[in-house]
Amino acid sequence: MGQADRPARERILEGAYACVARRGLAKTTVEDAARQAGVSRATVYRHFPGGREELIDAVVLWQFLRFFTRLYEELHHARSLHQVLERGLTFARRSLRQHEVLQRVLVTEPGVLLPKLTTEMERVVAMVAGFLTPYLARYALRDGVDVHEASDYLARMTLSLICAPGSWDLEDPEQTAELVRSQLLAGIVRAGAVDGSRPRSTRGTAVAR
Amino acid sequence: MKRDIVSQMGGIAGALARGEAGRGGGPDPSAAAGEPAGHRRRREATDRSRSERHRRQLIDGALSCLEQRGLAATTVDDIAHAGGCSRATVYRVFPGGRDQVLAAVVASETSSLLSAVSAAVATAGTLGDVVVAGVLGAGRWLAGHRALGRLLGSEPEAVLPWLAFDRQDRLLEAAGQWAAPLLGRWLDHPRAVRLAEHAARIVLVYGIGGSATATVADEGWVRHLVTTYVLPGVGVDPPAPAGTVARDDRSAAPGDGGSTGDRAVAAAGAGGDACFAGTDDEGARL
Repeated sequence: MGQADRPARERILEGAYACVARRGLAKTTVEDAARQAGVSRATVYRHFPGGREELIDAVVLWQFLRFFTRLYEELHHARSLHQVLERGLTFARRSLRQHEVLQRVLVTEPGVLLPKLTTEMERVVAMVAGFLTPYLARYALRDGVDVHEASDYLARMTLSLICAPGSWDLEDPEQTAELVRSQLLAGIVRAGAVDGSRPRSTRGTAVAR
Repeated sequence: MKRDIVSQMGGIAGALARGEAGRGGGPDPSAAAGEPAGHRRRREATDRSRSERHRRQLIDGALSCLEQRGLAATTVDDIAHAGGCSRATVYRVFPGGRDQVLAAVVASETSSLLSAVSAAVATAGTLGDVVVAGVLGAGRWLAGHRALGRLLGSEPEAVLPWLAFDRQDRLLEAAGQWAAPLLGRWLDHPRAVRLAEHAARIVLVYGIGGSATATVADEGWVRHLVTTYVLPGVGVDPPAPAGTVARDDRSAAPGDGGSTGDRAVAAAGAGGDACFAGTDDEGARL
């Protein structure tokens, strides 16, 4: 996709998203999206040759990416892996709860949305794991812990927690800190580093309390 | 119609929480009035046992239909045929028809899953073993469930809604409450609930949302996962190493539900709720 195509593509995605917000996933058509975006049907098909199905999938992915972009911005200044996870969990959970369109679609069309989310899951796991890996690499890890496997575990668990925190209240800082310490990092980083202090940039040095 | 089934499936978390699913409760025949009590009891007993048998046949029949045809294509006639009953019998035992049969299938399968987990952990002697055996028991049950496997593959829209978001919350909480007593020998209740919920989440994440490479039906992987990522976080105040034996237990024979290996992990924990040797048992991890 060339740079010149971006605005049109972006406009179509925005248009389709507005339709989804109004009418839901199942009732959004290529025509609606085209009208909303102010482009022709042919233009929509040029960007999304698979038509409606491809367009809807692209809207879901696009929203995913927007969400993660905001999440990255939120986490940009986090100083430790603990902070990244605590802030990330809290921010993501709150965003998800406050995402009106998502919440509505989850109630009205869970059978349409969830398979799409599941299809994207492996890609999202890889993305989150890729984001966490450099943070993990700065820590003194417990013996035998593989950075990539640990990132994968953290990605899967945090994504699960964001969607369904179970008995954890992710908007309570103490609970979130306890969750991160006990269920996410206890097996990964050395005990000395489990209090959220800033890690040193050199590898192999346990962080002082 | 599908949404009705889904909402009934959602009711399962409530049943779990009330501890009903584990008992596989039978139908609830309402008492007929104006009949001597002795007669009524005898008649009801006969009716109940026949109903119970038909109920079982129809649930099994419905399961085989789901496996062979999927959900959308399964009709009351198919269920009756597969269960060796008439259509009228289906409606007598399940007045709500197809949806009620399907809800009974979900309740029955939940009960079966819980039994599998109970059986898997029965011989486990340490906290670590209980967690490994429980995750593995659930993982193997899921992996071996052909109807569920088929539905997740061909009709995910019918299954995923009751495994995700709010419904997953209820499922996790119910699983945590249900499984916590299994950990009561080693942990106080709040921590047992947390750990049980963590284990249940692992089953869901790797067993249903799972990646192709990591499966919770594989003992080596489950033991590694639990030992590496779960057990170290259980003790709030990590005890002194206490003569920890670090050894590689991952080669334990598969198929024994994890009852033999991993003693080192929890041997030191039997006495105190915060204690267990797994906290520093790094040798068991690779």
